[in-house]
Parts: sequence; structure tokens; C-alpha cells
Amino acid sequence: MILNETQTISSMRTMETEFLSSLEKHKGILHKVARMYMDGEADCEDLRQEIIIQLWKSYQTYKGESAFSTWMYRVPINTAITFFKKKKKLVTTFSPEVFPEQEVEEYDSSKDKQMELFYKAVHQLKPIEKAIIFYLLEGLSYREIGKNLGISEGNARVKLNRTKEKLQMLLKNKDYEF
Amino acid sequence: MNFDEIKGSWDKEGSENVNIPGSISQLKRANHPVDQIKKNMKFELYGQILFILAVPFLTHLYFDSRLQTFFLGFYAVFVLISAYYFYNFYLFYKQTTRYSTSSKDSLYELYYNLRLNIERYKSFGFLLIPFVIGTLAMVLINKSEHLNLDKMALFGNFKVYLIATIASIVIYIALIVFWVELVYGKYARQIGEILHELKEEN
Repeated sequence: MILNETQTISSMRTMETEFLSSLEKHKGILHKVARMYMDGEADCEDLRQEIIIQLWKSYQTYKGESAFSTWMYRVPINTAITFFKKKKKLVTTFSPEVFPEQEVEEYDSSKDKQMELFYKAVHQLKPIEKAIIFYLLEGLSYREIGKNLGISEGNARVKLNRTKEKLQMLLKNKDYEF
Repeated sequence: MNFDEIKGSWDKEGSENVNIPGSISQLKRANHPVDQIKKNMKFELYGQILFILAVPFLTHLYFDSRLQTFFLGFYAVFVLISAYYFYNFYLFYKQTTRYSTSSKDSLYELYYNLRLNIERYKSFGFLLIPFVIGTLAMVLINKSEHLNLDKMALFGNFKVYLIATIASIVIYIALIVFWVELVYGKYARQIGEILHELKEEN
């Protein structure tokens, strides 16, 4: 009985070590998803921690039905989509007026300006639109984007084109085109 | 906007600020809205369980032995029905949201589980109505017998009792619906809006 418990604890520790080392290799995903869905380092950190918790919960039942990379994309994106912060309104309508002008003036030259502006524009998108842009930049095909979102390839194509146009418009309206 | 250019910067982006903990225990407790809803529902439920357990002790003082037996039978039925609800709430708290499926499946699962439990939660609140009315009726009957009041005099104001009871029930139902929708419904509505985003576009 005691031996069984020791074996279980030992196998859990091995699983945890494996999980954390896989996560170390893919931590770029955590960074990018958090930056796309949250504004401000504290909120980003909250979301990253939440993603790790959900990944760990899911990892214990992960039996390799899907590729590790697919799983590694889906859990963070699905967690981020439903992770609403209190006191922050869910942006549901396209409104270029709410673009944070002040933050652009406080631009830190050490950071990549292009990516800073890109993330600011992305924050104005709806949760699913953010996921579409994320998958596009990660190099997923229309088919894969559709599969991860649970929509048809055609629908993924239409949504992607509209989201790209919207993003372009958001940047253009404030002379942020590059 | 040149997406190829952005893609180039995206691929090169560092992740030095991401610290992977040495062990899972170093992480904060789950703070996801769904987990928060489960926690809140669980705390409210503890209060309801305490109330249900306290009822026979409180009413014990009021009833004579004949009504006591009748009340305990009535109470037992209420406890049995409540147990069904508690078991289902327990399953909901224990349930882990599956985030590894497609976004649509994950959102639908989350949405319907939330909606189902919100409705269960409301109907559990409604279940208290017949129980409270039954208990109050027994208290009144018991009181009339103890004080040797004329039952007709007691029920002479039947219309007033009826109107007061109906008004109380309506206010109680409205309060439950308002409270549950305010505290738990908001999140379900947000999930519903995201699901709407996934609809087919032409």
C-alpha cells in the first residue's frame, strides 16, 4: 500500500518535471498569447499563470490524441478567450476612437516599435479575431485554423480576411500603418 | 500593413520575461472566471446546507408531537430532493473544463454547463417556496391549536394571507432570478457573445 503511494508520488513528480521542461521549450506561446489578450504586465502574468494551471490540469489527462503542438496552442488560446478580467469591458465593437493615444507617446525606444503598435491594435480585436491572428502568425493553414477554432476552412478564410482588414483599418485610422 | 514583416518580428520575439516555475505548487490558485463561479456557488451552497440542517432544530420548538411527525415527513422529502441538487452541484464543481478541444466545442461545453447549473441553481431556490409555505402553514395550524383560537377566525383573513403569500413568492422569485443573473449570468452571456463570433460568415 505504502509502496503504491510512493510510486504514485514518484510518477507524478516525473510527469511534472516532463511537463515543466516541455513548457520551457514552448514558453514563447505563453508570452505571445498573454500579450495579445492582456494589456499590462500584471494582467499578462495572471493569464500566463492561469494558462500553466489549465495546461497542467489538461496534461494529466492528455493521452496524445492530438499532436503536442496542437494541444499546446488550443489550451492557451481557449483559456485566454474565456479569461475576462473584472472592471475591463469586453471590446465587442470596432471603435478606432478608443485607441490609446497616450501610450504611443510613451513609446520605449528599446522595444520593437512595430510589435508594440501591432499589439496595441490587436487589443482592439474581439477574442476570436485575436485567436485567428495568433494562428496566422504561428504559420497555421486555413484548414488548421478552422480545426482549432471548430469552424469550416471556408469560414476560417472569410474571418481571417475580415480580421486582417479590420486590423489594417485600426492601424491606418491612427496613422500607424507600416 | 505587411504581415510578412510582422511575422518576421513575431518569430524573433523573445520570451525572457516568462518564468516557468520550478514546481506546480509555486503557482497561484486557479483564478479563471469559471473557477471563481464554482467557488462562489460552493460557498453559497454551504450556507444553504446549514440552513436546511438548522430547520428541524428551529421548528422543533413550535410543533407538538402530532405535527412534529407530519413535519419531519415533509422535511425528509425536501431533504431528498435537495440531495439530488447537491449531488449535481458537486459534479459541476468537480468537473474540469476541457480546453484542449476546438474553441467552439470548449465554449459550447462551458456555456451549456454554466447555463444548466445557473438554471439548476434557480430551481433549487424555487424549491424552497413550497417548503417554506408548508412549514408556515403548519406553524399557523399549530399556533391556532395551542391558543385555542377559532380556526375560522384564523383563516378569516384568507384573502389577505393569499395576496401576501403570492406577493412574497413573486418578490422572492424575482430576487433569485436577479441575483443569479447578476452574479453568474454575466459570464455566461459573455461566453454566448464569443460563440456568436464563431458563426458561419459568407
